[in-house]
Amino acid sequence: MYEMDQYYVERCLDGHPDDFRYLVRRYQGALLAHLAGKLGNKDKAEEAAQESLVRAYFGMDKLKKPESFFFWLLGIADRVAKEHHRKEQIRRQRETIRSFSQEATSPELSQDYALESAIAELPEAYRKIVLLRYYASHSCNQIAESMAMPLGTVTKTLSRAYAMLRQSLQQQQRAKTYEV
Amino acid sequence: MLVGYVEGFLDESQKQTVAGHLTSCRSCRAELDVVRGLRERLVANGKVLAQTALENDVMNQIVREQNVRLKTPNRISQTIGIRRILMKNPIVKLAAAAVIVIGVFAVINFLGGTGSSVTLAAVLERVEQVQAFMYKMKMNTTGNMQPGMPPGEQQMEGTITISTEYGMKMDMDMNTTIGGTGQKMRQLMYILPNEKKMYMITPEQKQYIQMEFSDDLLARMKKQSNDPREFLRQIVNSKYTDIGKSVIDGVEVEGFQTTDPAVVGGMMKDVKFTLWVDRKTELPVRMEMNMKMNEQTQMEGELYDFQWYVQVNADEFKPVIPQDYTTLLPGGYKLPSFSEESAIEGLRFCEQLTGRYPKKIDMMNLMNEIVAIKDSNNPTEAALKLKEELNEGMNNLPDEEKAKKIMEIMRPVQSLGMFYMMLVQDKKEPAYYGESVTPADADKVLLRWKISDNEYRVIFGDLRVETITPEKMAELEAALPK
Repeated sequence: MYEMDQYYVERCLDGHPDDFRYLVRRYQGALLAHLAGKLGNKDKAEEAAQESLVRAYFGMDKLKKPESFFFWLLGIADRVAKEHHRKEQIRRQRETIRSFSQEATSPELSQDYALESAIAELPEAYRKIVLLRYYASHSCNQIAESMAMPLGTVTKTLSRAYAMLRQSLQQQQRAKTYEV
Repeated sequence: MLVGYVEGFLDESQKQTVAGHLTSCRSCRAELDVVRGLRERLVANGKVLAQTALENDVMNQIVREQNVRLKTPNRISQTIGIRRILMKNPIVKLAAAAVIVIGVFAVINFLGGTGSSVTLAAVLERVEQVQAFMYKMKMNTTGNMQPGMPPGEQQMEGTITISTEYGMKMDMDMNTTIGGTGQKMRQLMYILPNEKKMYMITPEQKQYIQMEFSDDLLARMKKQSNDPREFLRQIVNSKYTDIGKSVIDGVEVEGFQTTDPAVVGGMMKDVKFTLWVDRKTELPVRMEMNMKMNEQTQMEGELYDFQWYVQVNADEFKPVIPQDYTTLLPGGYKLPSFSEESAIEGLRFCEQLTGRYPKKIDMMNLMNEIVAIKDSNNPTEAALKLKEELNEGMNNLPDEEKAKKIMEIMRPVQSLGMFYMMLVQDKKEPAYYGESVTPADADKVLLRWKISDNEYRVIFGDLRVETITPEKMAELEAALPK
């Protein structure tokens, strides 16, 4: 599985850019879930995901461990998200000054924003496992291999992640009820 | 536990315990529904996001940016990484080329058979008269073809022309499938002893590589392909069996078979070569090959459609390289020599790099051990230095210079691999003990080979070299750990 990532990374470095599409296909779901949770908006997440992938492609010769492509990609996505966040803040400040009355664009929710933001709040190790399991369809064995941890740890972490997600989703639910 | 239950990673007894409990416990059943609900939500959302059409947008943007970058000269290096040169290295290609070259020699070396109606002398005589011949080749490889690559399959098919006057020319179509993606490539190879050069050209990529033979390698090639005494020696030494008569394409043939790994320089395991010789003309008709590069990699092939006595002219052996082709190695590359000193240099280099002598010193294994240092958790100082040199020290060099530098760095390793290959081929009875011998073992045999009936050459653990008697040799080897 991760040999596969390594292979495609090397194919790209070898001057076959078209093979990058396999890496895009494999990780776009996980990347979008990761970014949607952080940015809270489907369009922005897509934009950031695209930018992250393009940056990843052109920075590939700096990737030290081709087999950890995905985790490296998440790191790039985090930086892109942060930059987008900053730009967004500046834009909002300007907008507030410009048109006081106009409501800031309300975040357009993606398919399951509540879930995505709950995932974004998970501690890193938990988040990675959830992303790989459900957004990149990895088996627990494959996750164990990629994160270099025993299978038992993966399954335990996944169970804990479920508990945290539930709690977080319940809190969101409650918060919404109060708002109304 | 419930997460494990819905995710299916409980073992049978745990599963039964949970299932049993669920029938009797309402609150756990409710809990199970919640967990299932959350899982479904995750899976559904995952599916939706995985279907987002990001792929084409990303690919289009890459192509656009690539074009912009290519117009800025000093950024070309960003599109062509250095690693491809390390991983998909000409060295590996060279090893593959060596296999083919050796395969060709093997054909010639096989020409013979004692005690059959096709006599050794007659075949030799015939082949000596042949100035040029052609044949076709088919080769199928499955498994891990290069270090650091997932398993795949490769089909090669092509035509080879050999002339005693001009050299050798190969035109191969390669079809490689790895992980469901296929790639087709045409490769032309020229081996030109008169110019001491070798060319590999890939027309679709508009790329070529030129290499220069070292004198010892060239002398060896010349000797092998021209000197009949050398044939005789090889044939007499080869352990083959006459497997009897058969018919190929209406031609009556006689078969010879060998499982002697020396025919491919000890680079391969489980070797089986079958040569079919025309009983009338006493010339080879077909050769079937079967061998393993390593445990995972199987090669299977056939040399057929031999045309003896073909007319060739000098122009056919002049590689055509159009102006717009680029080379990975400007100015060419001098192939390593395979002297004793260069082999010792190779052993020292490997030891410094990996912290120990290589476990085995056939070319494939050596390459794998060197490639493995990139994943080492406990790298040696030399490995760190090398990595640094590859990462930072070369940033300012143009790509071609990088490739050349890497080839230079790897030269001692290549020398070592080739030296060992030659020892195996020449049946000098090499034995190598890198698994147990360390640099501290000044009196233990690391590598030995036979020079004559009463002399052995020995490289010790401390890389000292000595010529000793067979008795002394036996004594030293008895002292090695089993």
